[in-house]
Amino acid sequence: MERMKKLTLRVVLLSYLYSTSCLSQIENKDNNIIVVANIDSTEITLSRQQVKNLFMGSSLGYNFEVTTLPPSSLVRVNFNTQVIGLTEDRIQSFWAQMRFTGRKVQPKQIDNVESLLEYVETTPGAVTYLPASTKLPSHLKVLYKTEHF
Amino acid sequence: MSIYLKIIPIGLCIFAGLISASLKAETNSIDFSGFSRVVAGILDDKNATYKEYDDSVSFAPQSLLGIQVEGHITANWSVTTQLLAHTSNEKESSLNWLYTTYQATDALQFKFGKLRTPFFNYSDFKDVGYAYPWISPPQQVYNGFLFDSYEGASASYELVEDNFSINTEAYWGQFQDEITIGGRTVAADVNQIRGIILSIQFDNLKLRLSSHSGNANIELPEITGFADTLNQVGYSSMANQLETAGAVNVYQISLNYDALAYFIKSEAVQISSSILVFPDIDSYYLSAGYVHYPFTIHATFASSQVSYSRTQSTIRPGLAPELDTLSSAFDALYDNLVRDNLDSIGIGLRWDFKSNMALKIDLTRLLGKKNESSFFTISDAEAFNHKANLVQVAWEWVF
Repeated sequence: MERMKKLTLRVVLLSYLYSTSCLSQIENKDNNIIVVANIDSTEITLSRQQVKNLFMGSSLGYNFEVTTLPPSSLVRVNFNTQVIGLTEDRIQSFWAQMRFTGRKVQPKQIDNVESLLEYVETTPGAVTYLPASTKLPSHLKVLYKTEHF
Repeated sequence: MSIYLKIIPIGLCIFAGLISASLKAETNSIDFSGFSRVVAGILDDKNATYKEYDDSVSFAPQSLLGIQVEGHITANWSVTTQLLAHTSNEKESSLNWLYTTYQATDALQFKFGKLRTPFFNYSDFKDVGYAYPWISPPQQVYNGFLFDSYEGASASYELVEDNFSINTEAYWGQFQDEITIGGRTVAADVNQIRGIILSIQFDNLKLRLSSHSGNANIELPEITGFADTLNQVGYSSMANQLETAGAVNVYQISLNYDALAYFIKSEAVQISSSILVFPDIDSYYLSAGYVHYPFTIHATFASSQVSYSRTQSTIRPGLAPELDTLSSAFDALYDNLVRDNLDSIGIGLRWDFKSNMALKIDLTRLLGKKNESSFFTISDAEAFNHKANLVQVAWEWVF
């Protein structure tokens, strides 16, 4: 059952990425995602549902500053597919609803992985998602990791 | 004078004052954002119009531009205004929202000011077409017939657990403006508008339950005049049935499922009132969509049943010609009340061709009921068979 779910998810992700014409670039790379935070505690681990809630504007009570990559980023596509479980258009629709009803604020976006890593390294409380293969400085804690590939 | 003409200068002055105060404060920023839609539609029938659409292509009914300005006064306080410009003849361009937000904690938020009434899933952002898959949310539920804004306060609290989250929202306020009921635009004074909304999210499933009510006083001088006449001739029980003030109650439930490649949306609504001329409405829709990014196709079935409390004249026939006339008029009143019973089946396609922009096409088969208006404005009742097809295309943009 678990293998079937992983296989289905892999098929869905690969078709999705193929439809955005990125397949040739990613076939040989690790598409797993890690969620990292600049916090002191080593005790916190998050479930997929908690990560989804966090990146969709809910507070988990840890005073995190959520940061993300822009829609054009392949890492964001991986994250949307594996963790949020929604396509980019529906995520943008959700944020449009939140913005124009004054309910929630979209997380800060930073242009690329390098700048994002630098921001999170130097900002206490910042949390974001990165490719699993990213070399992390020791003070960043991994709160969640996908295991789909 | 329209209430908006009164609010706008006051609101802008307050807003300008707060903004200039904030520009002197340390924590300050002003954010501009907005949304726009260009919508064209055509109805394939020359004997009626539907939502201002007739048998020639028209861009006016639903195209609009919304601008939102948000000023951050402190880390917890902000002021937001949203201005809306419509091309439609039936809608005034106006101040859509004007409120201040106090974010007490990450989970608790208060808003004060002019706010959109959050009756149903899409009620308070119905103008932001980009935010939902159809061009128009199903008319049977989202017919804009209730008081769509209020002046007051709202509070919302979110509880987030490992596997689920619950959002509770409550609001209270009043409304003094025009509403459209039974195809007519009338002045309404609604006080003690209040509601509570519970949203529960469990993985991909979202349940929303809400209950709303208000005390409405609707200006219908011909009904009030008729009631006065009935009182004068001693038929107060009949006059009392023509009361234009009373309670309006609204109940809503929806269940949505959102997976990566597909979604299901369903919503059911019940509106009831003690006011005779305010219809009792039961309506619902069921929608399913398939997503193959950047395309979404969807199909929707929707239905509304409208009824009115049955009234009948208690004047004995033959007492006097004038009384017979009054009696017939009273019975005719019930028969002539507008009934918007409508079934519809629609399919649509959405293409997210660019970030923050989408193109949509919707085809809707409207299945009205004989001898009823079914949301149509009928120009030739003899020729119209109460069925028509509506085609709409739209370009949506948020910025």
